[in-house]
Amino acid sequence: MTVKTIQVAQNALNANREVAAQNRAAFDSARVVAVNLMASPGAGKTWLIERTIEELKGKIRIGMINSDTSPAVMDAERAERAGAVTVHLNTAGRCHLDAGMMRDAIDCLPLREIDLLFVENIGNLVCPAAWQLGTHLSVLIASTPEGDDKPYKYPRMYSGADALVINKIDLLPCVSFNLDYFRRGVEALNQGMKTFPLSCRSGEGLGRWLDWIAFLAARETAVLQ
Amino acid sequence: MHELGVVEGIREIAVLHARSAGASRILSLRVAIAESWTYLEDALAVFWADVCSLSEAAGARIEFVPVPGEWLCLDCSKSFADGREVCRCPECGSQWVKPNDALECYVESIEVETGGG
Repeated sequence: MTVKTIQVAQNALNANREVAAQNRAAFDSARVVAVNLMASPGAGKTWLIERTIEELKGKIRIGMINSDTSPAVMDAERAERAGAVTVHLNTAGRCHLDAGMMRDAIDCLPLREIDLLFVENIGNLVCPAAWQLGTHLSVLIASTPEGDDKPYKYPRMYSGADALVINKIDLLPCVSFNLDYFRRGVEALNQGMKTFPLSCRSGEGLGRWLDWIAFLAARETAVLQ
Repeated sequence: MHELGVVEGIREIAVLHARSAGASRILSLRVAIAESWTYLEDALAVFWADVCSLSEAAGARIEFVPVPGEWLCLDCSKSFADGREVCRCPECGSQWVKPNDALECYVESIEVETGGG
């Protein structure tokens, strides 16, 4: 028997990144635009997905991978009722999705019957930021009742997102949320990030979000063709 | 609980390198973790004991080596290294800082046992 030391010097998340690249290839091959939705619990991820599916029905075929830390499937059922092809992922307590879980969910989806796939990550402002899934875009959803200090407290999450939704703006008169202070924090971390202030309840600002989602789906398909 | 995913990643990398070297067993690992990264070392150790059990890494000793994280001050744009959990910019004293590290957690080396002399 011989004992020897091997120099490795590799990031512990490399294995996940390799699987994420395979997931991306599967999306590209099926011409599906995949969007990772991240937020704290209660920010309105499912609500936004539900409203988007309802409003774009007949224009875009939307799929959803819903994740929860438990077997509770009520969110997936909401998206399904709205008209999306849906897969529910029970992470059994894990606080984020990873590329391997995504791969398993992708296997259960009819990708060629979907134009745009929403991936509803676990409600958490820390862990999901570190794990690539293979999606094309990451969208962060903030909501006004959470408070305006979140960019300052969770910089990784705000740094890594491609777009930001500020949900529940109809509650601005009722909650302590300084929009200018919030925006300053976001701008310092992610200059020029596309931002969608809206309310899923009242529908205010929703049109601009829907236009962007429709644009994304069409653009990606055209590019891939 | 992202520590579970981290130790799974560590195991995959270690096992891959051990197999490439023709090793029959992994004896120990040395893993560097940036202090600016959010993790619980106790949780890493507990999950490691479970995750490595059915592989060449079963029973392997794992050493986590904290390395100072890199930070960027969002008030004055100074980059600095600081190992403390609550850090302030050494230039302007601001607490408004963000982690600026690419290598959050990496496997530095593994010690393996091979069959040959």
